[in-house]
Amino acid sequence: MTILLFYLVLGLLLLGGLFAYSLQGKPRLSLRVGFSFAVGSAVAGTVLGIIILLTGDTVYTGAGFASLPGMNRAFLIDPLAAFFILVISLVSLAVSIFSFGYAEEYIGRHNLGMLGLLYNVFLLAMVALVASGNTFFFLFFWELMSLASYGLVVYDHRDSHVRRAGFVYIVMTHIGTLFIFLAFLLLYQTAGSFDFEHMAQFGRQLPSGFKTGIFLLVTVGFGTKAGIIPLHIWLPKAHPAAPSNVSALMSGVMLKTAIYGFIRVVMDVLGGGSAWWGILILSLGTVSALLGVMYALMQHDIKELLAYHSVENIGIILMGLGAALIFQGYGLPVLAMIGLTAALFHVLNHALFKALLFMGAGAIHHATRTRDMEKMGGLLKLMPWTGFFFLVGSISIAALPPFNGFVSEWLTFQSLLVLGSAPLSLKLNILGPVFGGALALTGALAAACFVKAFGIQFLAQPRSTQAANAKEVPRSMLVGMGILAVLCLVLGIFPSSAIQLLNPVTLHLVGYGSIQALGGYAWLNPQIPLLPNLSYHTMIAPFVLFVVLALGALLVYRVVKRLGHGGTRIDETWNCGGTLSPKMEYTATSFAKPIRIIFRRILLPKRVVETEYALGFHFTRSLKYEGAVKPFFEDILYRPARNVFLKVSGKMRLLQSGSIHLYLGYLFITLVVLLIWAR
Amino acid sequence: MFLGSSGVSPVVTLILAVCFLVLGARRLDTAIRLVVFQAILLALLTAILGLANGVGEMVFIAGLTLVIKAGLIPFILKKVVDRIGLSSETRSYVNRKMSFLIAGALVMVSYLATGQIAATQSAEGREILATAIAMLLIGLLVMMTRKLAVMQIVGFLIMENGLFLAGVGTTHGMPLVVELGIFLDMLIGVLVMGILTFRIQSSFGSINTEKLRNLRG
Repeated sequence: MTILLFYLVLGLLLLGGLFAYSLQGKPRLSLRVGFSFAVGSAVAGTVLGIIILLTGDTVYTGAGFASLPGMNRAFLIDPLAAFFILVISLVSLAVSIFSFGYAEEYIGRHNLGMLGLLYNVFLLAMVALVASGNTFFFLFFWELMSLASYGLVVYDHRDSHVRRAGFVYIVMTHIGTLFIFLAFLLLYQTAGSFDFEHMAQFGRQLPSGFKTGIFLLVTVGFGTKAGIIPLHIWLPKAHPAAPSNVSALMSGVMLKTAIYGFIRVVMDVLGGGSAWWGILILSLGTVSALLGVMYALMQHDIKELLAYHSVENIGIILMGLGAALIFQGYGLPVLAMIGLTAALFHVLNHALFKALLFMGAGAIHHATRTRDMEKMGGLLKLMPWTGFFFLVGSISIAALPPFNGFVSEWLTFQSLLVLGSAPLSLKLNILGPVFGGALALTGALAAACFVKAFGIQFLAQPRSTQAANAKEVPRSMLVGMGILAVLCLVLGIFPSSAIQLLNPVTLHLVGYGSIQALGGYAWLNPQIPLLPNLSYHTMIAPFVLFVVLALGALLVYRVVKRLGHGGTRIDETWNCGGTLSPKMEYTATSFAKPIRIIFRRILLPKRVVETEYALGFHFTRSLKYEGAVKPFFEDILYRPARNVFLKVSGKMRLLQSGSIHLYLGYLFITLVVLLIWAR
Repeated sequence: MFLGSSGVSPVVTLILAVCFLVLGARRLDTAIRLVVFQAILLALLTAILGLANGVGEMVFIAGLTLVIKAGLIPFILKKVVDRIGLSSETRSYVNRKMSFLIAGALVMVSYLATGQIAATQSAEGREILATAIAMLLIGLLVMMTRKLAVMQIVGFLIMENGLFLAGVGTTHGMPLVVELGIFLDMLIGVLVMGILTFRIQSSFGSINTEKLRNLRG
């Protein structure tokens, strides 16, 4: 039954893509058909994921139609795959509904049949990728996913920036694929099979050198797709270039397929390794989280800002994974389970709120035609629902209760703090809380960043005529955002539902279910036996927290109403008698300035101020300010690499004279030399 | 290769000689005519071998060779030459004396290279294989040194004839399906190259392939 459901998911996406493409002559119909099939498939995918996670079964199909030696499984949906199918389906459900309204702006400007085709193929590739039972299928769908998403990134191809962003994206993603290829070939060589299932039996007994090699290869390979620093440079370019519904999917879901691949290879096939693997991943995660959020604060393009937050959140996910790998290296499955649960839960949460925020950014762009935050302002009054949903997303990503981001970050904190008291080496005991501190700093900066993002865009007065003329977006877009906003709240209040779903996943991967140690329904209380006589015990009750918050808010409201003079008076803000104009407003740049100054050693900001005087020194005619953050990694890493590459290519070019006769000459000489030599 | 084998050796020698004549040809239509002649010789050789060994299929293939290589392909080439309207010289990077010298060296190389392979075969088999390799190399030489696009097709045909000769001489005829496939391939190949030659003419005003260098980015 479940396998039929799986084929239904793939079939609907395939049909949706083909129908949308064949109807390209009628853009409006093509749009409706394409996204309707995507919605249907997302519903089926959600049901499929939940069924498998609740029963804990594994379903698979044989590879009858594509039989190759060493390949017995075409698709294999175990709890881990089912969890990622669930994540993909939930996000694509909301994003597809959102797209009904959003894609209308492309009617008459671009080929909507192409959009429908690429969009459905993109989803199809992601679902099939996480369900792949062998490395061969995995790589095929991985490439299909990369190519479809490339097509979507350059959808607005008339803009040269978009084309350049697409180029960077496709180059980086192929570099990543190269490393994954190598890792899979190494695995095949040692395990003698393409099947993940088969590899998992042999993977654990591989010589440690092999395991380390494969681990490092997949870290680079999947790290490129996930966007860990310093492999992240494509992310802040590709996300703003793509249409917003696509960036929601790319950031919310596509990055997660890299996390899936990493977990599949490192935890499932290799079964974990030495503790230093975990330390490496934890450090990479910490660096990505901290630098990601710092760079995010410096961005004034809303989608670029969100893209850097993806770097940050991938970092947080990797911190949980890193902690899990450390514990696994030391043979502490219970603690590894907490780290893994935290990471997977954050995968789900980040998918939900990041897709929500990208859709919010898309809605704002739809209404104002700009992505520059400095041109927005006052949108809350004009677009109240969009503003509300964006606020929900902002609170979630800033990890504040009662929303979902808080719970998964809290779990990540627990796994990092336990590093301090678990029976590990002394260095790790000291380092654990330090990493925890870094995570706390990340959370605080993220909160600051979203105060900026929300405040500058939605509050105060409009800073441009586009913003002043904004209108609320169509209902389908609001419904799409609303679904994810509700899910953010539900998972924030009842995280136990997600933890219950994750139970079979952790049971399968680290041999320890999440329900046992994380317990109850309303309460989340990790009880972890560290030593025979010492156990680590902490708890939190998100639901109670929510009730207390709601009651507290009500109480404050009542008290203020009682103490205040009553009645509401609407008047202008007092401004010492002057008139208020948008030019007086706090800008995004000025809001971020204190942080830019604090972290100037890391961010290396530069600014140029040009003043033009009218008469004397005191009479300024015009003032020009330019500020930018040094693109550190591009200067240090990518530009030199590119220069070397171009130089070598230039040398190679001498061979390529363009003359047919010379090319034939190469053939001729090779042939004659071989004939004589091989005699 | 026992009965009538006396007829084999002179024909093979003639086929090789035609290659040299192509190198010496001054005009395009001469070169094309020589290729036709070579194809007729090839068909003759196939027929002799087929009759001598009692392989009926080879006689059929000989007929097919006659129709395609001596009929259809020269017809296409003639059309190309007429349409472009030139019977100009076969311009070359290397002069004719040098071409002959290189071709002679190539024949030596091919005898050198096939010496061991063919050691177990009969004298005719050895000669056929060496000639085939020599034709392959000479065909490549023609493609490499001649400037006009039509001559590239001629070179290609010589190479193809060489391969055919190797197939006939060493295996007593490949399976019919394979032969038919090769014929079809070659026909399409020549057709495409002919069209390409038109295009080169119309884009560059000449079929001198030197000008293709301009396409380099």
